[in-house]
Amino acid sequence: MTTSPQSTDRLKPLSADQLTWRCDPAMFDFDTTANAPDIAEIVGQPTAEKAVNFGIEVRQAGYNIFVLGPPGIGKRTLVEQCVGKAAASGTVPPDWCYINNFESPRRPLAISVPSGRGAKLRNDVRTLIEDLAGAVPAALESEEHRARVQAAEHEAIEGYNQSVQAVADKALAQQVQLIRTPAGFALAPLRDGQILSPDEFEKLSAADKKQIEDKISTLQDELQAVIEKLPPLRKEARDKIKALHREAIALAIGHLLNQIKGRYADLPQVVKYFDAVQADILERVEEWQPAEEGGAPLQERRAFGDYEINLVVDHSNTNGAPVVSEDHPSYQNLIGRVEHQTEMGALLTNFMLIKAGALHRASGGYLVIDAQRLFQQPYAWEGLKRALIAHRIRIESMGEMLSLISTVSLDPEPIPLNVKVVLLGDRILYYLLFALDPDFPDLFKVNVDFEEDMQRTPENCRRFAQFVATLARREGHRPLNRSAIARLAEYSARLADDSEKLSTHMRSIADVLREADYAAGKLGAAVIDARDVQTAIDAQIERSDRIRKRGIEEIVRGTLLIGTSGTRVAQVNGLAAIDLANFRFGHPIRITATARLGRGEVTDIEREVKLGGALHSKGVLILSSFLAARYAKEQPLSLSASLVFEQSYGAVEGDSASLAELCALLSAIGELPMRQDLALTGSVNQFGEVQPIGAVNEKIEGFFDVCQARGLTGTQGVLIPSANVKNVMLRHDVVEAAVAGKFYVYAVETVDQAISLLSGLPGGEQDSTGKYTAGSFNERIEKRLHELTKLRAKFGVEAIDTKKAAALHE
Amino acid sequence: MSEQREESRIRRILIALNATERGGLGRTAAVRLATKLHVALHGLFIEDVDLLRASALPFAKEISLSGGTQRPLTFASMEQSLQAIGGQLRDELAELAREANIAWSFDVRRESLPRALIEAVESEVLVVIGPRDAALNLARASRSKPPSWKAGGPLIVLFDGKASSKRAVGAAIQIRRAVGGRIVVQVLADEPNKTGKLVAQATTLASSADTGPQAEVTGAKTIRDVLEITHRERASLVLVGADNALLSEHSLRLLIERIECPIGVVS
Repeated sequence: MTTSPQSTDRLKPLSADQLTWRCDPAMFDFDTTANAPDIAEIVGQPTAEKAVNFGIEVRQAGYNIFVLGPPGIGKRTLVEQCVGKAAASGTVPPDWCYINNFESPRRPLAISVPSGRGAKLRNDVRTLIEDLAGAVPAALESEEHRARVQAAEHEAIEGYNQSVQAVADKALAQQVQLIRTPAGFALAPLRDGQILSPDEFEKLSAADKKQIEDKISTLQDELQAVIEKLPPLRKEARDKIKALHREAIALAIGHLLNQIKGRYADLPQVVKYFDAVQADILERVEEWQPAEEGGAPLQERRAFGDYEINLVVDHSNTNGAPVVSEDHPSYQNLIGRVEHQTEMGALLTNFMLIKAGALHRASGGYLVIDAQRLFQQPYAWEGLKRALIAHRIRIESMGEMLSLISTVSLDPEPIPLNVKVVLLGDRILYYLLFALDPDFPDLFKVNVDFEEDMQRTPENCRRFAQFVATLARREGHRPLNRSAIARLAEYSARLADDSEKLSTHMRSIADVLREADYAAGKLGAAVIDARDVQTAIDAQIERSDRIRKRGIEEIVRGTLLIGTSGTRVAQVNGLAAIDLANFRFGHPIRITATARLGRGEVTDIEREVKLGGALHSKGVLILSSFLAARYAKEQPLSLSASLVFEQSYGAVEGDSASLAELCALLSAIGELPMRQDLALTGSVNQFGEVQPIGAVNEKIEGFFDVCQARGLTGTQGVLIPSANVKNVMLRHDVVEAAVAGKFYVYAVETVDQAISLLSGLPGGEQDSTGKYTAGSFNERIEKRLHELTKLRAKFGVEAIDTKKAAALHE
Repeated sequence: MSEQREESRIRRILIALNATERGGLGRTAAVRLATKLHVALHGLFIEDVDLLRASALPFAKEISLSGGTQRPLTFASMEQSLQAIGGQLRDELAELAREANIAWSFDVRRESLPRALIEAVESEVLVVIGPRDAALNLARASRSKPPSWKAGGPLIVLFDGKASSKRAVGAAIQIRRAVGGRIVVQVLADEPNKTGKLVAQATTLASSADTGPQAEVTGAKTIRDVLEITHRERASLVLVGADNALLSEHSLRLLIERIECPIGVVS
């Protein structure tokens, strides 16, 4: 004998206790949250907290943290709390500066100094520069120095002039004039103190001409020999003058640099830098010359700007390890950038235009980033990975990297990186990264998975109350009384879609708290009451409720055809849920079926028109299997059926309507009238067992709202899977209607229970021959299917006879 | 006998330009003086006929200052070169005058340089000529503007007792009032026994100036002495009367060749 379907006689509607959970305000040991203590921990996330702390404490490379969970669940709060605690006891990392690389200005050098000394170094260097800008010109403009330089110049020029003059005198003695030309010298023969004209020259005898030409040729060679000495003479003179400048400057700046070097004697890198500054100043002596008339004085020319210190990371105000939360994690904001200045239409840059990124500031501590924002920024993830893998930050211009601009940029020396990165993101993002990015598992070894709910134990309820109290105090809201906290706890359970749990989605709780405070304020109340919490919840719903209300209106007006009374064959009320932004609601939907002679196929019309999703199709295929397994084990299933969601014009997904579809189908086969004052939801398996579904509360309330709009008859209700009873957290008005006997919620475990309720017929039991109890709906279906099989067989015989007759005739 | 300073007021500055004075010290001095004295500026570019004549000789060669290479000279190439330099100097003078917001004009004359200078001298005109570019140029190559003339250095007056040198003293006083600096009167006597008399005259002229500190009077004999004192004093301008013996062709060439500051010639 097969398993007997459960009798409907024992099926009772759910009690008020089963329809919702009422939080008893008496469980809280305070009058208002003003008396409740603060709570330091994040409620309901002990595992996540443990994982975060693990990630923080393991300092090895790759133990970065990815915190996964839906938005608003408190990921950032937990991370900031844990990281903040760890950072407070951490050590302050060093400051970092970029300095000019005098040997290769395109590759600025990075130096680190103990935290807090970077700013002092920068300021000391600024003062030094001011002193240099005063001392160097003063040294060069001093009378003594100028006299020495002029003497050197004069000596060089005079020496040269004398050489030239010697040639000129020799030439003059031979009646030849040395003449200055625009680019040099020329020699011309004289007659009577005047230069010989070409005509006069032509009139000379050939011998005289030759004599003059020879004479001049010899003088030209001598002059050339003198002039060839010019470049080395010039270089020698310049070197001599340069040496004089160097001597004067060295004397003027030596004590300044020695003083500052003395202050940083404990920092060899800094001392080395000052040595380089000194050498560079002496190397560039010509740049420090006094300004020409109309030119800017040296102080205004930023002539000593090359010696400034670009303090890119300043931890002078940091206590403990740094915690940086980058809310705009673009490539440049993470890695840093080299800015440019426009000068005469050209883009110019220097080491002072290097800007640090969040990684620079966070090195030695923690960097918290929203993963979704990170992935919205081009190349940001690649840049972050590269830095984490290399353990150093290399600033590279995106424009240069992508060859978008061809202007000269810098290649600053990379800075070592030691940071713990904490990414906050959705679960799907984590799983996708894990699956698709081979670097990800190596770089983010610690995953922190946030719980979305917690057990509704008295202890957790009290923690929840403390959390609300802490939040109210922190945000400056009115205190809540116990009933308000209780109502918030109920709301939390509803958010969790589970009467035995509380939601950990703290942002939603916080939003209701804020809005309840607003409602209390409007009433002039000093304390937030349950009434204010309910006002806030209702207001939230009301703001998002337009489409739901419109749907009910159309049902009431008869545009959307939904029955709420009487019976109909092959027609049942299914229930669907719609998610609109942050608002979810349920509504009834008419499901109809047809059955006729066929070959065992059940057609899902939604699927045929490509409106049905895969899960929905799966549910319908399960129905076919159920039918065949239960009613046609030893005979062909000679049935052709079709199912459709009436007045459904969009995509249908999920299998939560498969119970309703099966009931409609069985009604069509057995021509069983089904109650229209009931709606049902649930999925079924191949054995006719009813399985749980989602959004049970919204679905129940959706049918209740329609019935209420038409007027409750006292017979209406909803069938839900038994496995969903724990999820039931209904609105107060629904519960009140149930208590008043105006609306019912039934929990069913099998399709037989559902059919019995809908048809009023018992399911019946199979006897030893496999026959169902007479008068049961199973018996009617089995009988009908048998008839269809016989009919099919008859059609089969007639078809063979017809073929045979046709053959004989031929 | 009391000496009277010859009254003469500078009403125009004439800057004598030539192809061997490209450095610009003369130009900036002329512009500055014209600005400070509130007078018009006239540029005269002298195409040196000696240069043209020399370049027309069949064996003429130019020995370049940059490396000492020799290249043949022709009249046509020299003429072309002078025209180009003249145009360039005109543009530079125009730019300087525009910046200083002064009236200016420009002219070109083909003449022997000393002769052109003497001919340019006329009443109430200060003829300025810059020093030649030094063959051994130690100036920085990066300089984009002409070197500035530094006013305020000593004004050296070459005094030989002639009327024009007395007017040169008067011009020095006028310039001193406008741009500052002290006046050094350099007495030039062709005979030793005249020196004392000239010194006395110069002292009287300088002391009658109501321009602050008394002028200094020194003695000199030759062009080389003049060059030495202008170098030592770091003179900003040397003023000389047009009929001074120093303005003989040979001496003037030497003076222009070797002096380190502009020269001003007064009629």
